[in-house]
Amino acid sequence: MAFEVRKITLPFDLRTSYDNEPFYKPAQEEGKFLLPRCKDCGKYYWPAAFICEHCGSANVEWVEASGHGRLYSKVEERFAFHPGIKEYLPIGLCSVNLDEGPRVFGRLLGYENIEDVPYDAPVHLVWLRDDEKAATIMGWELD
Amino acid sequence: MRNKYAIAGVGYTPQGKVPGRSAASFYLEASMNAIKDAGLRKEDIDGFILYRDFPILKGDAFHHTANVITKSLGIRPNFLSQEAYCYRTFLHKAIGAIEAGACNYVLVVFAESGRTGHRTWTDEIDTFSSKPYDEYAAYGNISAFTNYAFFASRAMHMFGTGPEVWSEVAVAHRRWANLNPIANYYKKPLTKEDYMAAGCLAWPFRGVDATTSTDGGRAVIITTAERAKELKNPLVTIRGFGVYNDTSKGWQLTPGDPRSSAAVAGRMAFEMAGLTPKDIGAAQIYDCYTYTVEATLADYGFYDPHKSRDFLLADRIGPGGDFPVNTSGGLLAEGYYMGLTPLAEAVMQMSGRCGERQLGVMPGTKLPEFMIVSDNGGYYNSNETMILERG
Repeated sequence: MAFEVRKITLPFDLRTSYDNEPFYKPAQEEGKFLLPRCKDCGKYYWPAAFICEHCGSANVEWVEASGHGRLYSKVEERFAFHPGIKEYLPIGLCSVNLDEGPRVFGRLLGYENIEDVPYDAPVHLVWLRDDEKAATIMGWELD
Repeated sequence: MRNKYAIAGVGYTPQGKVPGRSAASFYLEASMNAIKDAGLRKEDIDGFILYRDFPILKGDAFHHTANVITKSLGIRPNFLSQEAYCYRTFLHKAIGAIEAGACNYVLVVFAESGRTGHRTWTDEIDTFSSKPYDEYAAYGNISAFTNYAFFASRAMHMFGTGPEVWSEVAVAHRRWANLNPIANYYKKPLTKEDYMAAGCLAWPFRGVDATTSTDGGRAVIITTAERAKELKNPLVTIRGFGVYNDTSKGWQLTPGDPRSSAAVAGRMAFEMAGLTPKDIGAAQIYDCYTYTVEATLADYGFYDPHKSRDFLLADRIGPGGDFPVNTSGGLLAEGYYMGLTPLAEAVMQMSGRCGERQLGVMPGTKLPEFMIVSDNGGYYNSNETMILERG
């Protein structure tokens, strides 16, 4: 599955670790959207973790996901709660219930007025890539 | 456990804008004032819980740990504790330590010089330079404010709430603060028009939807009801309590989740108390944000979340109303001392020590037999609930 990649400047470096690298590294290097799925109970989950949050199994695989879901919640940051985000405001943020099940986080893209963006609307993934910071994060755009 | 434990003393300090003072000085002063308020000697304190740990801040000479503060108090408790994160654990710890036979009197304290000095959270996130806070900071999500805004935003869609309801909550808190000479917003009224005119810091929340930071400290002493009876204050017992952690982050929360921390902790507390929301005469709710009050009271079962606008009217939950909420002005308008803002006010009300805003003295009010108190941590994901009873 190919997803659109847009260039962006992120306010901070992305914190990655053993736990979330299987999510962010394929995004950065190949534009792949992988989710952890439990081989025992078959369910997906997010954020990334060593064991399945549903059944506790460590028998987990990373599989390509659709990049489609529905907008669960939305906010628009207009105040610099940290001086490092001031030049990027306003920042639209959202949570998305993926078709595969998990609720994920991301930037909300392509809207004019935050109040008018419909809850539960279908959205799709757009990768937001900062070349200098060598990091890629999730953006979500209305279908 | 019903009515087995009591809050025997409350400690205040000068608060609001108190320039030049350190958080450590407030920790010490609040602790000693709680000890004196209970009529105890400092040597009686055999359990000491410093609310939670924060990294050493710019204005501090040392890390505020329970052992540093108890050393300065000149006491050697059997039990010391301090939570590493925002979980609400002091009640289980205090009661557990007493039940284990380790302690008789457990003091719980929080302080900061957040208004004129350096504030926990805002200061600590600077210290991580290019990687402040967690994974989500790179997205631009770097405050409790936005995390709670996620929760409130979804509730607008699910339950039809929003600024109309939250403005009533904000105005009610300000009215209470205007009766409390030590409140940050004493003599600073807020109208619904003022609220609506304020811009959003993170849509859908305005600055007036959030707690106010303060300089000062607050402490309480937990002991058995049996021991508290022998002390000098009127008896205020914990008729029921519950603690629960649903562990979701703000953006992960589902409004109205029947297994939210507040919903489960509330059910535990009501069950232990043998009471229902109908028995409760007033509430002191952890009000880090206006919507937190709405969500907590809905999760406790005081109203259907679709009907919060009928319940949360400033004339109903404010001074003179039939269901007083956060009578000190709360975290929104009195000052931020974690869950000790609501708990201290509940104890002061139940022991008749609230001056002009005293329920039962203020015209049109009565002193309730039972009062519910909440404390929640993280992003609504950890909750301690108590139902207090007058002895």
